[in-house]
Amino acid sequence: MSENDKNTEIHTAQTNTEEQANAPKESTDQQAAQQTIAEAGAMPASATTAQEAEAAGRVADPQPTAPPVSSTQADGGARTVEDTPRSERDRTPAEKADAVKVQSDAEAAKAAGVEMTKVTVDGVEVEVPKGTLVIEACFRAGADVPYFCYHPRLTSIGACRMCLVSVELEMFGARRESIFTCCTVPVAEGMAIKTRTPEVKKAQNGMLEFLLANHPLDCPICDRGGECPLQNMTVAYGPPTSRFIEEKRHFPKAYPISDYVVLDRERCIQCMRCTRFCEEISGDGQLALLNRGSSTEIGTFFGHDFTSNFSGNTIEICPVGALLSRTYRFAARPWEISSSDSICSKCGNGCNVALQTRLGELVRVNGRTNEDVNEEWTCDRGKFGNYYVNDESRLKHPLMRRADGALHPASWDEALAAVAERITRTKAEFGADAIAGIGSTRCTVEDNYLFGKMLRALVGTNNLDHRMLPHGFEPMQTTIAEIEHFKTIVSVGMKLDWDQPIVYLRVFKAYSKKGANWIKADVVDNTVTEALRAGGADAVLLLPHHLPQDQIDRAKKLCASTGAKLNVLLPDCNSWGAARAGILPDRLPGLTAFREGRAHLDSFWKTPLPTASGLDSDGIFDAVSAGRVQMLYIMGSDPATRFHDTEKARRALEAAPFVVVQELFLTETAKRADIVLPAASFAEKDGTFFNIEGREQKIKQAMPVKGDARPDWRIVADLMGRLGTPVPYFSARDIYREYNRSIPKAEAVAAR
Amino acid sequence: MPRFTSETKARIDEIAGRYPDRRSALLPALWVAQEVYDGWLPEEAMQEVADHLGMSRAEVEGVASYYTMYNKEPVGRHHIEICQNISCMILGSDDLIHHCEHRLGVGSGETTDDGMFTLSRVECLGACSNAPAVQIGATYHENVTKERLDTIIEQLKSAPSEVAHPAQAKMPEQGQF
Ligand code: SF4
Ligand code: FES
Ligand code: FES
Repeated sequence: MSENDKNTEIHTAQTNTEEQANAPKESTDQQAAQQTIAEAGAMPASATTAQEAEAAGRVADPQPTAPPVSSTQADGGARTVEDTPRSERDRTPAEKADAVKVQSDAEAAKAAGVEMTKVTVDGVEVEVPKGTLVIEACFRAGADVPYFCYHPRLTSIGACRMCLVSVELEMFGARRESIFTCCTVPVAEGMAIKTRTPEVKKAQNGMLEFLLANHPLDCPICDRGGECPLQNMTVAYGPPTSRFIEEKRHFPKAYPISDYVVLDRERCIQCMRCTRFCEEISGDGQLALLNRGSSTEIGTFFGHDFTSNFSGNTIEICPVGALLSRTYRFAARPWEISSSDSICSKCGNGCNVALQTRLGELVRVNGRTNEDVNEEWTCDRGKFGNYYVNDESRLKHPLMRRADGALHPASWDEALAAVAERITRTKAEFGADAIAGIGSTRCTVEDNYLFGKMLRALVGTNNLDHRMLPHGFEPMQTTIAEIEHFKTIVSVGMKLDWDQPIVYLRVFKAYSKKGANWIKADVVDNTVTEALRAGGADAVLLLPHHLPQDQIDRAKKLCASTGAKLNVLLPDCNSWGAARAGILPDRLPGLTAFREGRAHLDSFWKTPLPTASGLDSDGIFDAVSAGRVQMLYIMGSDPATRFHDTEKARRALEAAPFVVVQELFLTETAKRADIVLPAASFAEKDGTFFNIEGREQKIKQAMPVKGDARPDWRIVADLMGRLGTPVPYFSARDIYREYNRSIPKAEAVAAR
Repeated sequence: MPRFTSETKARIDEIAGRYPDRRSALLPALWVAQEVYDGWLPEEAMQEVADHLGMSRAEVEGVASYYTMYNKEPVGRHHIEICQNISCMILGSDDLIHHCEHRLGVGSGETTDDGMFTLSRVECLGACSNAPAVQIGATYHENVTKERLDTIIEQLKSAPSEVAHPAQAKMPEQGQF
C-alpha cells in the first residue's frame, strides 16, 4: 500500500461517525477518497467531530473508536476545518491595520457621496462603495479571509490565490455560485459572499498546501517566525501535513541583495508584494520576478544592489521570511520585543514609527500608519539609520577639560556646578549678553523651550539661535498629504527620494497614479517659472531650505504672482520645533514677536526679559571672535560640521573662553568644549517634534538611557536649580504644558 | 558599449508607436536587441531596451528571463534548435538530437569550441505536420532526417549567421537542401 493510500485509510477511519453509521463500508480506496470529498461538501464543517455531532443532536456512535479529532488527518487536502473564524487576537498587526485602512477608506467614500452597493457576507448585510473588492467587503463585515498578496495600498493581482471565497450572484437569469479569489473581484449588487462554507474551507486548505509545497518550513530559524502571515494562516487554515514528498527547490539561503536586505528565495511564495511596492509606491522598480514556473524567483537586475531608499518597506510587507533586515536578523524574536510609538529622528518628514527594543537595545524600527504623514511607509534612513542610539561610542559621563588640557570624565555634580559657577561669574563680570546659546533642531520642543527659558529668564540674554543657515522661515503652504492632489509639481535642487523621502512618495503617487506633471530643476530658473505659470493655482513648488536666500525670495514672488503654493522643506526632525520653541534671537515661544509676547512672558516667567533682539548664530560666532561673547552654551548642535561657514564656527569655538556642549557623541564641536554633558537620544526620552508641516507629534521613551546620560531638558532643569531657581518639572509633559501656556493667546495679542 | 544605433532606436520606436503604452513594445524590442547583440541578451542589451522604453531594468530582465526563446547565454554563429515535443519525438527527434550531439561533439544547450554551432532542444515549433522539425536561425527545416541534417550542417559552415526574429521567419522552400 502506498503512502497515499494509507493516508486515505486513516482518514476513512476518522470520518465523522454519522457517516460511518449510515454508509456501508467503502470497498476501494478510490471510493473512500470520493467519500471524503462528498463529506466535505455535504456536511456542515462544524459537525465533523463526534462530540459536536452529538451536541447537535445527531445520531452518534456512543463509543467512537477513533479519536474525534479531525486535524490529525494525514490527508493534507481534505481536512475539514472548524467553522469558527479566527478571533481578533489571532490576527497580525498588519492584518488589523489593513482592515482599519479599508474601513476608513469606505467611510470616506461614503461621506464623499460615492454610490454604495449592498452585499451580504456570511448572511450579514453590508454597504460598501461601488467598485470595492469583495475582500474589502469581507473585512468590512468583520469576516475573516486569509490572504497574502492583497494589500490595500497596492493593485490587486491575485497572485497567491489564497483568498478564495464563494460568491453567489444573479447572472444571466440564474443564481450562480462559484469560488473566486476575492481580492480581484469587485462587488456587485446583491452578491451573497460566503467565507465559511466547507467548499471554501477545502479550497483554502488546498491552496495553502500548494503554497507550502516549496516553502522550506524552517520557521525555527526564520526571523519572521512569530509574526509571519504564512505561519498564522497555516495554523488557521492549513493542512496539517503535506502530500508533497519530493525534494523542495533550493537556493542559497540569506543572500544579501543590499547592505540592508537579505533575500531567502526558498521562502518566497511569489505574492509579488515587494515587486509591486517597488513599481507602484517607491517607483524604482528594482525588484522583479525572474524566470518562470517552479524556478520563479525574486531578484534585482542582474544581481545588482537593491539601492532603493525604501527597500526596508519590502521587508515589512513580505508575508513570509523571504526578505529580511540585515540589522534585525537574529537580533530578537518578535515576542521578546517591546515596542514604543515614536517619531523618526532622521529627517523632518516625521514618519510615525515603532521603536522596538530588546534588553534595552534598539533592534528594529517599523513604520506605523499615519495617513496624513507617511501612510505606513518609512525610508531606509529611518529604518536602518536610527541604530546610532545603541552606539558604544555614545557619551556616557560628563567630561571636563582639566589642567592637562584634555577632556576627562567627571561627575554630574562637579560638571553642573562648574557650568553654573561659570555662568554666574561671566554674567557678573561681562554682563548677560556675554553668554550665548545655540539650540537644536534635533532635540525636542521641551528641551528647546527650557533651554530658551534658562537663557532668557535666568541668564537674561537674547543671544539665542539654532539656525545653521542664515535663513528665515517659510511655513509650508500645504500639508504633505495635500501634495498628491496637485497637477503640477516642481521640485528644485533636491534628490527628493533621499532628501525628503515621504514627500517624494506623495509626489510619485501624484505623478504615477494621478497623472501630475513633475518637473525637476536644479535652480529656480525659467523652466520653473514657466511650469508655475502654466500650472497656476494647481501647481506646487518644493524647495529645500538650504537654497540660497535670493532663490527662495524669487520663488516666493513667483508663487505669489502665479497662485502656486510654496513649500520650503526643512531638514531636521524638529527644525520647526526649535523655531516654535523660540530659539531665535528675535522670537519668543510660538514664534511670537517681542512686541506681542513680552508682556505675557514677563508675568508668566515672573521676570523682566531683555528687551533688545539678540545675536543670531552668525552674530554670535563673530562676537565670540571679537571677545564680546565669553561663554557659548550649545545644546544638541554641531556647528563645527554643520554651520554654513564651518571655519567661522570652529574659529569661534577655539576662541571662546568657555564652551559647554550637550551631546550624544563626541562631535567636532564637543571636542572643542570645556564641558561636555552626555544627553539622552530621542529613543530614551519623551517629548514633542514638529515635522516640516508643523505637525505636532509625540516621541516616547523606548529604552533606558545609556550610561549616565540625561535628557536635555533634565540637564537644563538641573542647571536652573543650581542657578537659584528650582524648577518643578518631573516629565516632558509638564514642560510641554508650560510651553503651551507661554504662548500668548491670539486674542490677547490682537487686543494689544 | 551600447550597441543601439539611431536606426535600432528608430526601429523600436516604430514598434512602440503601435501601442498606446511604450512598454507594450517590450517583447518585439527584445527581439531587436537580440539581433543587435549577436543572438543573445547580455545585461547591456536589456539595459538599453529598458532605458529606451522607459521601464525598470529589473522588469525587463523579468520578462526576458520568462521566455526561453530569448537567449541568456551567448550562442554560436548558427543556433540549431531541434524540437523534442510530441510529434517530433514520435518521428525520431531523439535520434536526431543524439546524432547532432555526436556530430558536433557538444551536449544540448552547448556551443562548439569554434563558436560555430549551438545545439538546443526546444518545445513544439508549430510545425508538427512535417515533423521532425528543426529551426536554425530564422529558417525552418521540416521532415528532417539525419542525412539531411548532416548536409545542412555542412552547408552552414560557410553560410552567414542568421539571427532568429519571428517577424523575419522564412518558410522553408521546397527542396531547399
Ligand atoms: S519575497 Fe516576499 S513579498 Fe516578495 S514575492 Fe516573495 S513572498 Fe512576496
Ligand atoms: S490575496 Fe487574493 S489572490 Fe492573493
Ligand atoms: S512537436 Fe515538434 S513541431 Fe510540434
